[in-house]
Amino acid sequence: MNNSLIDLLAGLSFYVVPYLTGRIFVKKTVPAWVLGALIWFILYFVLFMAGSILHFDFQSAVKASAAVITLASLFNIGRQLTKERPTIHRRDVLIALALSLCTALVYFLIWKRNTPYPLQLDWDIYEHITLANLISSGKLSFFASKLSDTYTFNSYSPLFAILLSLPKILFQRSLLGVYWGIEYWHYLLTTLAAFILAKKVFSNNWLAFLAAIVSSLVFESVVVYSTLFLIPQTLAALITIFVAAEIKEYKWPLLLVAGAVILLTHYVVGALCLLILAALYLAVRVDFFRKHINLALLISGLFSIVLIAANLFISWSVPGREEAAHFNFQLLPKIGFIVDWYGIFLFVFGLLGAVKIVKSGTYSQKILLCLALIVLGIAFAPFSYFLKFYVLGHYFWSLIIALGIWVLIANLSSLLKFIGIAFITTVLLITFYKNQLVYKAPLNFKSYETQISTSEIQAANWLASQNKDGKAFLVSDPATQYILEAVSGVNSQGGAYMGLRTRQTLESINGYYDAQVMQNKLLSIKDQVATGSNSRTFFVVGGRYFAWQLLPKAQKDSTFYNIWSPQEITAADQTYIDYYKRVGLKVVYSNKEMVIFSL
Amino acid sequence: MDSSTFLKKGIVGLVLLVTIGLLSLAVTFSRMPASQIIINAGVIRSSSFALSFYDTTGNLLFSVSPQNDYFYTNSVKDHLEDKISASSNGNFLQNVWTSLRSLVFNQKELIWNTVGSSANGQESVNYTVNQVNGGVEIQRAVAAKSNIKSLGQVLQFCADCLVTDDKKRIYFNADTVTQADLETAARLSLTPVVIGENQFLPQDIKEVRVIDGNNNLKLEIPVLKAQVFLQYKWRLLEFKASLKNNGTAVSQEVLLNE
Repeated sequence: MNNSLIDLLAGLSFYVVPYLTGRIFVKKTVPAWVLGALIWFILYFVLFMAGSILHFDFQSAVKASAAVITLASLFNIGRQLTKERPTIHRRDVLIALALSLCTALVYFLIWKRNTPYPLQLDWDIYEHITLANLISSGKLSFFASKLSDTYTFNSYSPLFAILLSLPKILFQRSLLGVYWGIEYWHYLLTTLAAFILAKKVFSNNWLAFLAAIVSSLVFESVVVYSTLFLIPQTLAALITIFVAAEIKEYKWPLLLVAGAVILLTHYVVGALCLLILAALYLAVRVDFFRKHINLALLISGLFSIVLIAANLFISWSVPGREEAAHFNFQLLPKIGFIVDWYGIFLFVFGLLGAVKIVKSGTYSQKILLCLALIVLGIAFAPFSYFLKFYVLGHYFWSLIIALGIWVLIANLSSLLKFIGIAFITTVLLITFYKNQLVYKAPLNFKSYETQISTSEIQAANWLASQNKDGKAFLVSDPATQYILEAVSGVNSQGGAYMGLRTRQTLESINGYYDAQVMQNKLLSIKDQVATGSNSRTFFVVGGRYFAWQLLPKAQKDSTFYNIWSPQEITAADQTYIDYYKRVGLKVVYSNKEMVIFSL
Repeated sequence: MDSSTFLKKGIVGLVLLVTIGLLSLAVTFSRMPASQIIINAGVIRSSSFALSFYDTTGNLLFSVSPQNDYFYTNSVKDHLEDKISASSNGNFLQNVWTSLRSLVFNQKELIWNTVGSSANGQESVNYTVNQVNGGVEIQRAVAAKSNIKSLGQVLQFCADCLVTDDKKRIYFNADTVTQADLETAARLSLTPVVIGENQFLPQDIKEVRVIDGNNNLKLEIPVLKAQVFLQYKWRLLEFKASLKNNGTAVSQEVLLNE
């Protein structure tokens, strides 16, 4: 079977193994997955602690646990199916097939068109792969920053990386390839989530389908990344939407489990998700809110307006984090982002849908609008990183926009309705196409759009082969380290989040003419978490390294600036490489984009 | 609601839907970054001072600027613009149209309009770059009212690159040629030709080629009725050609090695 297909299927274990685990105790799909995720989170810590006492192989223990749980769960499911003989609704199957087909076409023919397996478009994945690799090798801590110095602070627990390590351990596949496929499953699930939530809120299949289309063709290409990137913040939002859609059926214990999983997935976004779920739970259960829903709408609207208008007067960045200032956008760029993501749909159809809800919406539709307004206000408040919170807003506003469109086509015959939806889909598709084109433009390398090249993967594979004892160490520019550490498993100082001292050491060797001094300086770079001695240290140079060295000093000292796309070695770079060779640095590997020296 | 009102409401809704959709597309297209296009052979970017052409690995191949280009009147040769005071990438409608052509027909076009001062007075030069098979076509257009007869289309080629032709000759300027240059010519098995800065390259040339030090082809410029000058110390190649299109524009094809 071809590798991309194997990895596409292996990626499914991220969802299927926790589901089967939870399914032993709970029948419903989402609660089963949530419970299973928490069980695996706890199980990893139990196995880790037991392993450190009893000295068994961690990976074998995970594999054995997964095998036993899967068999028990499948047996349980089989038994229940034969007993209950549930009916399958043909319409549900058709809708699921249609959404799968639409999302597959968009994902593989547009999004991944020039990014063949296993090349990538998501810069964040490498730190998650690094953490998942470390966990797979039997290292575990509740704090990611204690496992790798790529993590300078802990904004999430290792839950996400634990789930990500499942395909790695169970199928012994490289997570780079797994990620190529796993993000499709995430994309499909976000579309299904929008459909299910819309179905609950509007009780209308057409409208729910329209909401799913809007969701699948809106990609927030800055900071948010709801649909096409599987990262902790997007997973936390996805779980929240699935839970929100069926919150009436959740009992307290299960709700607590869901809350714990959401929070463990991402502390910051998870906290907002919990607030939203708490508000929703109260709104559904407490009569007081039903009576005052119009007042709640008014307050939500004012809250949103005040926070958005605050952009005109204040701006606040997280102190002490240089990167934070770059993620604090002014109002006009934020409006620009919305136009890039939605065209004018959020302004026109969002408003139309909101007006429709205010005038004649049901109670659940008014709750939806309240939540959408609150999240919009928070996300567009003048604070650094707050745009991240729009990851939840994506779903709420997809539904409201769909309703706005529906207002205009509701009175049409089925045929004209279909034509209307087809036209809107085309407009959204073109908007999406242009949006992803702009996102991918800086990642153009040869005929591909990617953040990693085949030559870099080959170099990483070679590095991995030199790291049998797990004590090898690599030094390069931040972006190269970040990518190579994830793919090869060879440790580096901080990856892309390299410390200032390391940055200054690298700056100081640029143009230096004494091999011994260079070697000593490079060998003085040490990991800040793994403190043991390194068996071998590799100095990796390539197009990215030299491009990074050409940046102004302020940019080299900043974690915000990286060389985002692969670079070939230029003639000028080659002069440096030839010089390094002449003065005695030993080349142990080279290809078109990378040369690796052993120190 | 009677059926005719129902129908009217429906039709109005559909018309509104289509109008909003088209408006949304126009706004979307107008936000397409107009200062850059990606073609098969690389990337072309405009800045406030030049149009730069990069290969697929991000290395600068050549650039074009009105500060390098020349105009010729009956008596004067000078730069098209000494100082660029403003530049743009076309208006709203042009942006919508070029984005649409790019998305639907994969026809890539970059517009770069500059305004600046020159010895000829205030001068505006409009550059249009179109992707053609194997490279790009660069059109330079000047205002119709000007008394310009010919344009010197200048390419500033890549650092450490060399100028050769289809007859296996390599060119250097008399005032800058060194022994190392002659050794390079020998290493690449090319015949060195030393010319003055104001002297044309030989008239039998069909193609000017730009290569790197390892004889890798970077650019090919077909030469048709153009007189070619070389200023090696500034890495400038000038292709002098008479104005076409009622005396306002000249075009130049540059083939890029993919």
